[in-house]
Amino acid sequence: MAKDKGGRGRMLFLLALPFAVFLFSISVGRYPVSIDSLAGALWAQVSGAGMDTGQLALIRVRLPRTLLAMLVGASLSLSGVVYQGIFKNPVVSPDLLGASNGASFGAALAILVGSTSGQIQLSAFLGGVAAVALVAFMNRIVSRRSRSVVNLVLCGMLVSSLFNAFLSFIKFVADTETKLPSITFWLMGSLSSVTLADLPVFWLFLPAALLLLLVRFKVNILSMGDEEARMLGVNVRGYRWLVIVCATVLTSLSVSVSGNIGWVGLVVPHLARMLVGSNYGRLLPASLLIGSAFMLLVDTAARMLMTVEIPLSILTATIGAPFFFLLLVRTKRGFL
Amino acid sequence: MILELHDLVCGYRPGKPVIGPLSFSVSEGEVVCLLGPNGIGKTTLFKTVLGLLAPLSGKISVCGHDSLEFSIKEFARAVAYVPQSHTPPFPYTVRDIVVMGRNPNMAEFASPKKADFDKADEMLALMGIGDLAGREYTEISGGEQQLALIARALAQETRLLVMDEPTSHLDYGNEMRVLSQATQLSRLGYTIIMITHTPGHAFLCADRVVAVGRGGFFACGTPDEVMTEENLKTIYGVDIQLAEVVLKESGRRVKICVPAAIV
Repeated sequence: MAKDKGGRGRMLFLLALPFAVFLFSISVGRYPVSIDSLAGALWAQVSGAGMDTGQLALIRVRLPRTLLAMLVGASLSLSGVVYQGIFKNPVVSPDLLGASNGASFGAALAILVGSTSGQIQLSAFLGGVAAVALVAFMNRIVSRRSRSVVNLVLCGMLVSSLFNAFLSFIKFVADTETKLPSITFWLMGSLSSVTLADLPVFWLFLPAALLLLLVRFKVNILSMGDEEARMLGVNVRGYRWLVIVCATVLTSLSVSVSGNIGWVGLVVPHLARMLVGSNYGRLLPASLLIGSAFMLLVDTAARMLMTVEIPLSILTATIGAPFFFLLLVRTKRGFL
Repeated sequence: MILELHDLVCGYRPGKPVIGPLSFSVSEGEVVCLLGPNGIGKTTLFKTVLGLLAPLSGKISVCGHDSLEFSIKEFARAVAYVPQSHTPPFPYTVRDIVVMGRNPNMAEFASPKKADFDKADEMLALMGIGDLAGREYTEISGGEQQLALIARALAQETRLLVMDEPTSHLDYGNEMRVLSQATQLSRLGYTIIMITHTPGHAFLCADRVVAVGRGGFFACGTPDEVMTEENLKTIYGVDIQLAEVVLKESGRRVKICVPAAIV
């Protein structure tokens, strides 16, 4: 790592990637914008000067949407990549411990009782955290007899499926004319209703992402197995829970902002691994950068491809599945 | 004494001892081979000594301190564990694997620095595989993997290395390469405790042998004291004859074990 010059060049490229995609994404759309007028609009926002309609649309709609797409992509990719490490399995995705299903249930419940969009987001976030907390609680009981990380995975499956059943129940009782369609659309994932008011979720993203970046070297060691990691001086349970809490916050956050978006948390880590190798020292920042650029591209496609917005999960799956197939064919796999 | 066991009883559940009570001590610079049949509890004993299992009763002291007093990190600065080589889930480079051994000497949220990578390279060179540093760990041979794991343990900068069957799954050449590296390390002052399933290894490299067998059999002493035909029969349940070979070049006498009854 320290002696690998080519790797450093790739990291620099990856660092520039989200910025490039950002500039592209912000300038295309129903109102094409030049970089100049973006700067002008930003200045107007800061200084409080008047803005024209295009500038208003840019600042109030497109800018927050662009930023949140990047945040969602980064969150899902980070949680995916660290879960793959601590569960020692390259085909794990962020929904392993039920965070996505819990958050989906939370959102659906809030929509059913007729909440505001802020309340829906909060309910989704809490649902995700609650699902993983339930997994932690069940794991404690199960692990009294035998201690193994498999317990955690099994409890995760159980809780996921439980929350899925709750979600189905809500869909079943929901009004088929009004509530059911909005629940369904919400779950398919979209950033179209994002506004400036949603940007403060960044302050939840930041500490979780920073903590994960700080412990990235420990994730390498954790992936070698519990006993080995402990003999290398790592407090295995402490670090595992730290990683799970951060990943849960990130996953719940992204579901609460944009609905349930699959594939990103699985595909992006593999793409990153192909580019910078398996060492989490580079892999974790690379996943964050690629994830944010990838999600932003997908969201740009979602608003550009057709006259109506395409739900994000449809796009991530149609791009993600064939791409994953390509990865399986092309990479020499030390993993799998 | 770098390691002392006092009436140590090991097991997974209270009231169900697997092995013990055992008492023995290991002094600095010794190579100790632990022999015993499958299922006798060697691994249980190892896990207890490594702090992965709590002792059911008795005491372990490492460098004169009760091992229960060590924090996880402090313990990793006193004792390094060399596991049997296994395939990690991701293709890390050999250097990435070895630098993991620097963890006990790093701050909690730190990443390895240049000095840590230098240390890793130094230990790889000491194991004679310095040229493999940049290769993927999953692509090198089993013997090289084992040497890399020893290099990782050395990067922890402990004086005591605990090896779990370091030669299992290795071909004969690699087996001897790993054993001779272990002997070299003891000359450098490292203390090594290893489980082995080949009694001959004890004659080749051990200063002391700890042998456990069924019915509470326990012996500890020099290879010549412990590895008598009678004791080997008790340990493994098969007839074994000892023979002595004089090595051509050095004139050194080495004992070997020959199974007496293969029909």
